[in-house]
Order: sequence, then structure tokens, then C-alpha cells
Amino acid sequence: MNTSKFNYTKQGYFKKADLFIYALLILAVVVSLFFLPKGKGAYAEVYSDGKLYGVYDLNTDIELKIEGEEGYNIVVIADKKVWVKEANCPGQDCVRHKAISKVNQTIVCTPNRLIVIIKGKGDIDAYTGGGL
Amino acid sequence: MNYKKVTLTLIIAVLLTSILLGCTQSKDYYGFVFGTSYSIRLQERSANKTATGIKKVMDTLEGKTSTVIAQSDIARINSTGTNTPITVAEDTFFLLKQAKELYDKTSGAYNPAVFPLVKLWHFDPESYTGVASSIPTPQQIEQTLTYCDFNYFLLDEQALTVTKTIAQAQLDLGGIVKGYATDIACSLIKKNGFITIGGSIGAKGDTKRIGIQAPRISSAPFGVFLLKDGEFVSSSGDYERYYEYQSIRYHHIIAQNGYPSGHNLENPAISVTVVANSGLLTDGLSTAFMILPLAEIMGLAAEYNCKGVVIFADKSFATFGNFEFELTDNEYFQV
Repeated sequence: MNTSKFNYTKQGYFKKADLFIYALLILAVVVSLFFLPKGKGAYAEVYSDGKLYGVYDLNTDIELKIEGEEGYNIVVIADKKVWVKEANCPGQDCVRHKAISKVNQTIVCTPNRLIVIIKGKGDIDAYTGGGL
Repeated sequence: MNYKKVTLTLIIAVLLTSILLGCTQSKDYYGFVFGTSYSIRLQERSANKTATGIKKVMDTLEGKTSTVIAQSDIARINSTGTNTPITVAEDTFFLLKQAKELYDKTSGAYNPAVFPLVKLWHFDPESYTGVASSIPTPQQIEQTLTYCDFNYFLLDEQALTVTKTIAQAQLDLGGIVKGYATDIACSLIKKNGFITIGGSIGAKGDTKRIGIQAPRISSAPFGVFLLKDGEFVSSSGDYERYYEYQSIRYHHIIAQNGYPSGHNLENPAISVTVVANSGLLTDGLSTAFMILPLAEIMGLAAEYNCKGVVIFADKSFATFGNFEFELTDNEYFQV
């Protein structure tokens, strides 16, 4: 390839029409950014043994039995809420934990290495404190 | 446009998209450490590298301070008899020194030597089940309480050793190590993000909106506040690890009298949130503030330049250190 042809200044590479296209492209990229991640409603991500087990829409009721290396948890999604209905862990903190429904709320079962987190569009970055 | 221009245009478009996406998209990392879960959210280039670095630091720290891992500094101290100096890692020693200061300043409300009582009440990770068919007798509590003095541990800074003066004394740094880990994690975050370990959060970069969970079942969080760059927050409460026996709630924060904090009090603190510029401090103080009376909390808040809120059993709350937040559950009311 003859690289000298990429000498922009001499050959007036950026013509008015080109600039218009660039501007359009930039606009398209910016606009798409606003639409891409925020189109979805809230959804629950379930992690088991450190790996993503599945992603579930909060609008679809479902009951999941997640078998990890250490034990099982039964996670329920209903009424746009998520809770752990049953587990074979000692402590039962995950079962006692209240149902979660807001973005970035979590339910954790440390013995069975299960994490449920709600994702989507929300105005809280993280939660502190428990709340059983 | 010739094909070169088209190519260049496409390259610019792809670059722009990736730069803009790189600016806006954050990456999350989840896992378990210190007997609890952590989450790291990063918004920066080479986020994977940062997260890997943080995980490595946390794992190393756990390897030194765990009460469960037999080779850890703390487990070795706990299993050793009297008058045998145990050499520990520098950061273990640093934590012990910080623990000593907090122990002294909070009149033993934060007490890393309370572990024998935690075990007696079955709140240690190895015996906790969330249910109880009995509780310790007053005699057992009184006896075990005599082992729970941090002054039974002699710290030698020159030699980096810890020597026990009674065999039954045992340590657990779980009350500050998670907060300390958020301190280190935030120093490793280059641009923007936060880390949550158990009830402790550390923020770097943009201001974060943090929800404080209500201490009891509730449709809304208790409140929302802003956590700024370099700030840390920890919450402690009677809801973290507890069981009920004969309709009385017993939880894992053991006070100086040997009983769970607030036991037999008419209106005990059930949740404490502390914000400061050190995670180690917020972690330790949130535990101590569950136990201490409000007047002492106010004094320590001024001394340590920290702020926060105490929630009581009757749904009243009191702030300290000019803590500003938005109350989102109107069932709660200011004292």
C-alpha cells in the first residue's frame, strides 16, 4: 500500500461532506449508548461457586434449584421479587433473608457459595447493612 | 469517499465506540473471602488486572488472619499455650496494634479477644447453625469472660511476636480485617469503583449512592446517603448472625458482660452504620457502637472524625458526627 496517500493535510482529506458523516457517526454512537444498556428491566444474576449460573427476568416467575459444590439452594422469582425458599446450608441466613427487589440488592449463601444480585437500571450503587 | 476513507471512517467509528463504551461500562466481580461475600465494581481500563490484584491481596490477608485456616498467624496464636512467642506477618502485627488501640479507646466494646465467648455462644463459623436448643449458663459465661481480655496478649513490635499469658485466650480479627481489606482494595483501584466485603464498602472516584438496609423486614431501605471518594462505610447489626431461643434474639456481637449487645435492654441498638476515611476504623467502630451508649458514641465520633447513624429496636434512630442521609422508610423516626 502506498502510504503517502494517507497524507491528510496535503490532499485535503477531511472534506465538508466527510465531516458531516463523522459527526453523524459520533452522534449515532452516543445515541446508541443511551439505548443499549437501559432497554432491559430489572433482572437477577445468580452466581454459583464464583461462576455466573444464569440471568433471570424479574417479570417471569420461576423456581430454580441450584446445586453447587457445597450444597443446594432453591431460589424463587415471583411478584418481581427474589428470595431463597430452601437450602441445605448450616445457618440458613439465605432463607431468612428478606426477598429482594431493588437493583444492586443481594442475597448471599456463604456456605453454599451462592450470590443472587439484582441488576438493571437503579439509582443505588450498593447496600450496606443486613435486614433479615 | 474512496475505500481508504471508508476504512479510516470505520476504524474511527470502532475506536470511538470502544472508547465510549469503555468509559461507561463497569465490570463486576464476585466471590467469597473472610467467611463472607465480596463484590468489586470497577470502571476503568485493565479492570480485570485490578480485580485480580485485589483478590490476591484479600486471599493473602485471609491466609494470615483466619481463625479457621490452621497455618494462619491468628490460628497459630490461638492454638499455642502460654509464654511461647509466635512470630507473625507485618500486616497481622499492624492489625493487632490497631485492634489494641480500638480496644482501649472503646473500653473493650471492640474486643478481638472475645473469641472464646463467640465460640461459647456458637457464633463462630465452625459451630454457627442459626438455631439453638440451649444457651450458655451464666456460670459458663462468667468463666469464659475471664479469658476475654486483650491484655493477655503481649505484642513485641521489634520482634513481631505475640505471646499469650493464659492458654485459653484466643483472637479473632474478623471485626476489622474486612474493613482493612477495603482500605487496601481502594488503594489499588486506579480510577473509579467500589468494593463491598460483608457489611463494609470502600469508594474510589465518583461519589456513590449507598442504601442502608432496614434492620428488619421492610419494603424499603432505611435510608440513602452519598459515599465520596476515599470514604468507607460499615454497618453492624443484630441481624447478621443470630438465633432465637425462647423468643429472644441472640446475635453475634458480644458485649463486655459476656452477653449479646443490648441483651435485657429495653430499647437496644439493632443496627449501626459508620462512615469515615478508613475502612478498618468504620469496621471496628460499627461493632463497638452496637455496644456503647450514645454519649460515648458521640465522643468517639468527634475523636475519630466519623459520622453515621444508630437505629434502635423501637424504630427510632440517632445520627452522630453530622451524618446526612435521606430517610426512605418513614416507619423510622429521629430520637
